[in-house]
Amino acid sequence: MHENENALVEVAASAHVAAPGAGVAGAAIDRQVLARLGDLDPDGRQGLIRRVLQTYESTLGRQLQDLAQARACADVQQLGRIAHTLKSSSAAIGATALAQGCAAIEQGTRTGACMPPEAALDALVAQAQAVSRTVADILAA
Amino acid sequence: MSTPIPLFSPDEQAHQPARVLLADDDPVTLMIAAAALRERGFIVREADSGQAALDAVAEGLPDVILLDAMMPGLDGFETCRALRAMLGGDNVPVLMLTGLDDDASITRAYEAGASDFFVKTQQWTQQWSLLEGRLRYLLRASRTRLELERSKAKLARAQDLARMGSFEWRRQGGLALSPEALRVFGMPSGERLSMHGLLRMVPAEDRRVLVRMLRSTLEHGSVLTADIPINPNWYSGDHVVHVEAEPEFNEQGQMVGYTGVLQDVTDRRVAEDKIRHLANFDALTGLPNRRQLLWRAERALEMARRLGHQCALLLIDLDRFKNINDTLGHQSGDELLTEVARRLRGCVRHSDQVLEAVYEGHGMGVRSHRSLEAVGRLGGDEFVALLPEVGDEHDAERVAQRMLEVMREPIVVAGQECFVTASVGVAIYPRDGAGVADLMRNADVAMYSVKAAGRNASALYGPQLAGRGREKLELETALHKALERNELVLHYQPKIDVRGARMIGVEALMRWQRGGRLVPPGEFIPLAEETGLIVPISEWALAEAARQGRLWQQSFGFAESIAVNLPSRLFERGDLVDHIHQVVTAQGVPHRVIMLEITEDNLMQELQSVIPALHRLNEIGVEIAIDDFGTGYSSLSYLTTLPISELKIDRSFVRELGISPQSSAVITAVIALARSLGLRVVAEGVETLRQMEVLHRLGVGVMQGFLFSRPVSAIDLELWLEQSLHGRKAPWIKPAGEPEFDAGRARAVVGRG
Repeated sequence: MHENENALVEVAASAHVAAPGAGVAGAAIDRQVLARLGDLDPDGRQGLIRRVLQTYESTLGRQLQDLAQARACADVQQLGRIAHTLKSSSAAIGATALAQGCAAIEQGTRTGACMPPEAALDALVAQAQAVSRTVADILAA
Repeated sequence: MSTPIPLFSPDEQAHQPARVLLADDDPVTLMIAAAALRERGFIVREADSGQAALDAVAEGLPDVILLDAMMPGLDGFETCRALRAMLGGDNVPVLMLTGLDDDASITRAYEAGASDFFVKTQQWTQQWSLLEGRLRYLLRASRTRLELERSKAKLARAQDLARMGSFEWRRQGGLALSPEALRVFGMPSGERLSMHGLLRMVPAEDRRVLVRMLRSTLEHGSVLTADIPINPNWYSGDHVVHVEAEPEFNEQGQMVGYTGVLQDVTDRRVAEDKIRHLANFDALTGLPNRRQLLWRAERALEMARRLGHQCALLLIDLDRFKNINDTLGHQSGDELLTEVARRLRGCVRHSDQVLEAVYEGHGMGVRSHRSLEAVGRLGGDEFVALLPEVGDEHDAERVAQRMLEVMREPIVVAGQECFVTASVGVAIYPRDGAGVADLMRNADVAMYSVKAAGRNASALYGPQLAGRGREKLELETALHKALERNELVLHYQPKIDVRGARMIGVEALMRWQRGGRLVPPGEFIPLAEETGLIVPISEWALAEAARQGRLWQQSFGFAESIAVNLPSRLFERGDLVDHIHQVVTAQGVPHRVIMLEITEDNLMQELQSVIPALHRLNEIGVEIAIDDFGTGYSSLSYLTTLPISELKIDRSFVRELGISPQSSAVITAVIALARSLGLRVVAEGVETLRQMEVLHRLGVGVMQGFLFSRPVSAIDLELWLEQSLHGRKAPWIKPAGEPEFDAGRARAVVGRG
């Protein structure tokens, strides 16, 4: 079990994860962050990374749905809350770019009562989907 | 449910892993943070919402709570607020997780009761040691705070028990009292008591002193220690609050205020007052006791010395108090003493204060010694009055007279009216003594001189009294009391007609039963004569003889006389004849039951003044005998004219019989004289058969002495009569080879016939 977990870290570090600051598609997840997460479960006994990524994957799906609904209703506050939550969890798994995107949206909803620009939201969704794919790849490996 | 204060001590806590309650709505963050904290040794409980966190707290208090500020439903702030309202929830440290640069959230976090905040940066999930450090710090602070709370609670409880509280006073900001301190002043916690309000509770006269003291304390920045009387009208009774405070200084060394404790010491003060009262006042009468009185007297003398005036000590002793105590019982005696005390204190400007504390303080006026004036009880029926300033001895005498006057009114105890008199002795400072001891002794001497002179009067001490030793005075007082207590008794020695072996009369001899000992007359009669006590004693003896005469008359037909010894001064009294008449009449016996003996010396010294009485006594049937005859220088010519019946040959001649030839010559001469004057001769001090025989041969028919009987009590005399005389068992009744006694034996009948 924990060997699998270590393998997971290896996978995350080599094949799919780009270095920080790389292009959107390639840099969905910062492998160093995931590696550090692995430090919390050094022998992989708790299957922490897998559980974290599974949890992230399932909540991300729900949050993307909520995001679509908030966009449709132009619910700025709800949008802000989703961005806030997604920001923390994304930062925690190393989806740094997504987290930054969330932070920008969140910041925007806090200062003004206006909906963020559609383009920004579209970009955010695209980033989220990229992260989701990467996570799915890691989990599938 | 949780308890407000964990039961285990902070030390124990320190060794156990801390329990962290972690609340975050984001499951990913929650999972990672929990893993991170567990990895760092915390016990973590996860909650995915505010409500879940509150539920977890209700199940058991964690050591610290991490709350995400932004949560759907109950957010972090509301959760924190709700937590603080829970039992025990107000003591748990709460760390609020807020967003970066979210100042509004930070403020809200504190407002909601959070202990601290932690900013979730982009990288916060990669910097666990920061969070751990913050948590450890919070836990330590919480433990310290708990410890402090616990010791504060202990202190508060202890202070409450001790009716104690703490306070602070600031130059800027005034007075602040702890709830316990407020309670000392009878105020509920939460109320404010200003310095002004506090001072208003202090009685006006004490307030002035207190304000003066506070000013001086502030001025010098000195330590404050004071007992403050408090009497707010809504607060039951007078209270005394003890205050102790120390000044506090700022960095510049300026006094900025005081911190201290105060305590309600009323009970202690009451107890102290009571002890002081018991130590200084007589429990029965409430008057100052000996200790207090002597203390006052010392102070009064100091003042008198300084101001150059006189003071007086009056010693008051009740007359015949023992009688009252004995007849009415001690309780009545106590009642009587209480009333006497009340009356006596009314005779002076009595001051009840225990003065020790006050007097030694300052601010007493020049005439402050006046407040020393008092009547005290020395013990028993002895009182003393201290007059701290008298113009002269007459002032003191006036007070003494007032005291005697207030006694005139009868005192009702046990339903009976008692008449009490007192003897008062007065000593004046500085004339009669320089110190309290001298004055007391001399007032005592003066008082005894009043007793000796017949009581119910007062006397000033004078040097003429000084020679009288205390011992003698004591004997004198005891003798006074002997009469009151019926300690005097008469013993009787028979006069024997040896020829007829019969008793022809008795001589009454006085005895004093003093404390189980029988005091012979030689030890107290001279003193009684000296002090004049002999008069009441002799009067008593006459009455007692008459009474005994009647008893014997009834018992065995006694018809002879009882000879009572009287000093010449009694014969000088015009009322002697009346007195004898009264006592015999009272008993219903003839006058001749009483016979009087007067010594030759006594008679000759006062011959002129005594003669009329002798005649009148003779007229009413009272016979006179001359005692100790032959020792003095009798004028024989007078003897022929005196109305006397009997000569008693002094025992010294009898003792010398057969030893010195002169004694038989004297006896022969006395007999011849007596015969020629028609007087009876009685030989005293006959102790041996030989003496009896010689006397008999010389012609003495009547004898008295140990050979026949010692002086014995009235009952023993009856026994003696029964056994020795009637039973004829006495050795002197049948002296061998003395046939002339045979005839007499037939006539040996006393009474009963």
